[in-house]
Amino acid sequence: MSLHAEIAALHQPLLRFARMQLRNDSLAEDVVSETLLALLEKPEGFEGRSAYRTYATGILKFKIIDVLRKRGREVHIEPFEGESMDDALDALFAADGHWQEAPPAWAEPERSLEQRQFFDMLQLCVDRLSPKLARIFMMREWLEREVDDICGELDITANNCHVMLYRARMQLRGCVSLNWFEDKA
Amino acid sequence: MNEADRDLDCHIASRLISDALDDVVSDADRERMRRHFVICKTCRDVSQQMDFLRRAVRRMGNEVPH
Repeated sequence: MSLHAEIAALHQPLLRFARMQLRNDSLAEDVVSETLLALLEKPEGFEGRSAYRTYATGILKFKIIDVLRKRGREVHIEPFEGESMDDALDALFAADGHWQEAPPAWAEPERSLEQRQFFDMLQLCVDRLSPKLARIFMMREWLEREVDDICGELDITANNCHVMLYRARMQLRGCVSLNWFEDKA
Repeated sequence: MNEADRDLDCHIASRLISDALDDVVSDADRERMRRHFVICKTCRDVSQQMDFLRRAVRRMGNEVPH
């Protein structure tokens, strides 16, 4: 694949991440355009497509974080997600605090990291989170930002932040388990 | 019995597993988690799964496209 074709192929995947974080189509287009331009300006020195994508995603993350910082508290997020989510989480546990149904162990998870299909499934599971949970979860885990910064930016309390991260992680764990590890068992 | 001495149940352990990923677990709770993991393989597994998911999510976007 030529460099230009390679860069063009990155447009849609990068845009998807940018939209999820920025929740604004024109801002998302802007950061992706800037990322692709940065790639065109420095085309040399990458061996293999995988390293190239890692580099591109790294630039995009940097640019998204920059926009989020500048935008500050303009964006508000409702702290709680409503009853149904609490119910879904509580349903995992019996009244005595034990698992209703013990989650199974995962076989050879590290090998999954080598498989593109695993990441397709992971993306689908992130997409299944509510938009609010997906955004806060990806701010923490994909952009690797500190919880204090996230709460400050979204203007929610630290406790709400931790509760939402907990819910997102539990839902994601369940989705990945069901759609990948148990599916293969 | 002191609250910190009481054994964890899996529900509370799952919340602490998440909080530990954000470095907001007290030393006392870390000790309770350690004791719980000794007797509960399921929560031990879940804790490892959460660690694995963190590593996996950080790599999203890096994989070779279709």
